Amino acid sequence: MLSGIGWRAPHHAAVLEQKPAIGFLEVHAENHMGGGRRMTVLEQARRDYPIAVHGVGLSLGSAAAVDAVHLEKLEALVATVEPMLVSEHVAWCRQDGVYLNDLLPLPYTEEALQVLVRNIERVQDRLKRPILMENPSTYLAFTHSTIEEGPFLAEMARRTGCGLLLDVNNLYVNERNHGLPARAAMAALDPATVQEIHVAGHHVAELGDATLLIDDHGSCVADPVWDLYRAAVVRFPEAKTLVEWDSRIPALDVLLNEAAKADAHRRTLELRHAG
Amino acid sequence: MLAELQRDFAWAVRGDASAVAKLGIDPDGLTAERRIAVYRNHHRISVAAALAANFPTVEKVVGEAAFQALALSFLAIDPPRDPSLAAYGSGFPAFLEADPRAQSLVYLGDVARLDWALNVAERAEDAAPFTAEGLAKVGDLEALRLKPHPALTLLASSYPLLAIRDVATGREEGVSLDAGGVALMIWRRAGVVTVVRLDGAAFRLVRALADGQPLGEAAQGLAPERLPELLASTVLSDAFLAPQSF
Repeated sequence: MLSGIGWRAPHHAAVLEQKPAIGFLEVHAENHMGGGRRMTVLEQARRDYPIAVHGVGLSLGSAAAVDAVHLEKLEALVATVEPMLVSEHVAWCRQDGVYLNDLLPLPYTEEALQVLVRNIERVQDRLKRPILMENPSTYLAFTHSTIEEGPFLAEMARRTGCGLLLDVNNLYVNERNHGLPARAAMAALDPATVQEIHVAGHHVAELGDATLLIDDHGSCVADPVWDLYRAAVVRFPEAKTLVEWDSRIPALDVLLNEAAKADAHRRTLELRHAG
Repeated sequence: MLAELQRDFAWAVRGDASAVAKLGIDPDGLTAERRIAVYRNHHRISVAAALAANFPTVEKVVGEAAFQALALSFLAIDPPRDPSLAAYGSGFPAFLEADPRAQSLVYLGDVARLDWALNVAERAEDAAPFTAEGLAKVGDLEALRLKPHPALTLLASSYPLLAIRDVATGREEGVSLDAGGVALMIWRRAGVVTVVRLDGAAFRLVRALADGQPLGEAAQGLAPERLPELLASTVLSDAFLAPQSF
């Protein structure tokens, strides 16, 4: 099972020409709403690779209802692309009609869980398929949170039938930023629910007397994140792997090298398991 | 509870420091204000970057630092509403024309309109175009009314926009604003974003059709021998919709 890479404009021509040996391409939904050349190029890519559609704009953590216009656009994209997976985030990004262009944190409460469940069900009903939900990276925690992250994600999946997209870089970022044990979060998840794993780089921001890890997808995957990745592959062997790199996008070879590293980790673990 | 939290959080991200205290953020070694600042900075920087991607010529004309300042002022009064940030900035040309900082660049609003037209042409929905085959099936040509393709923009300016763009992007050394205005047709022809400079008569024809006038009226004042060639190079070149797409 080969890892996939994000489908980013600077790599389009090279991927179509070189046809590298990768498992799939992950497309940001909001970059492909509308027509024109982007869609023609994506149509070409579809001939060579399975596609995963990864949304960032549905704001499924919003207390307000899901934006019907945006959901309609996602439905149209999914109908056109026929992706193998559709995913979104445990986060919110819209308030009073304003799109804040970030994946903003939720308090882990029963109320937030109910909001997510309602919104995920709306999307799954509309798309007529289960979606995957990704665990977020966060730079703050709320004092009124009452549920740990792992059990929160597990319960969301149990109530909605959605799958999980486990971002191990986000788990690591949260472990460092808030002391949330990443392995404990993983242990709380039903192995059957995790269908995709993200790995990515992060930025270490020194803020005077404090350090904050920022999930900027702008560098190679850090060693401690690879450690978590290996643990995730053991616990979730059926999950597909995707390498994200969205800022300071490097040459395609650099990204393919990261995907090859993920494949090598997986092969080593599979051999060990087989032996 | 969650609705109130998200309302206050959104205000904090958009710059209202007084909203931060209400959020119940666990300080844990870093103040709530500094934690919110991480989100606030990302919000501002990423939206300004998206606006710059949609208005590359404007950014080149004014420079990165000035663009950033203009973008943040625009963000404060006209934030994005569509999660596809390629669709952000339809109000930016008018904003620039009204902003005191841009008053010395009288052409900046129209430069922004050209950038926006190119952006619209790049990403507008695909739709079946009106073609020569479609025209052949029309009984009463005089009464033919068409709808513009969503990728089409008609832009008339008192300034030499293409020359200004060439100077901004380093392809030309200089331009005189006395060089005169342009009438531009910007759209997607055979899938490729295209900018064509039209003469006055041709621009009037395409504009009148885009405004919904019947062909007979739109073509008034046009030399009859020009009509077939003009229809072929503009109207029948993916710029209007097939009647079944209306």
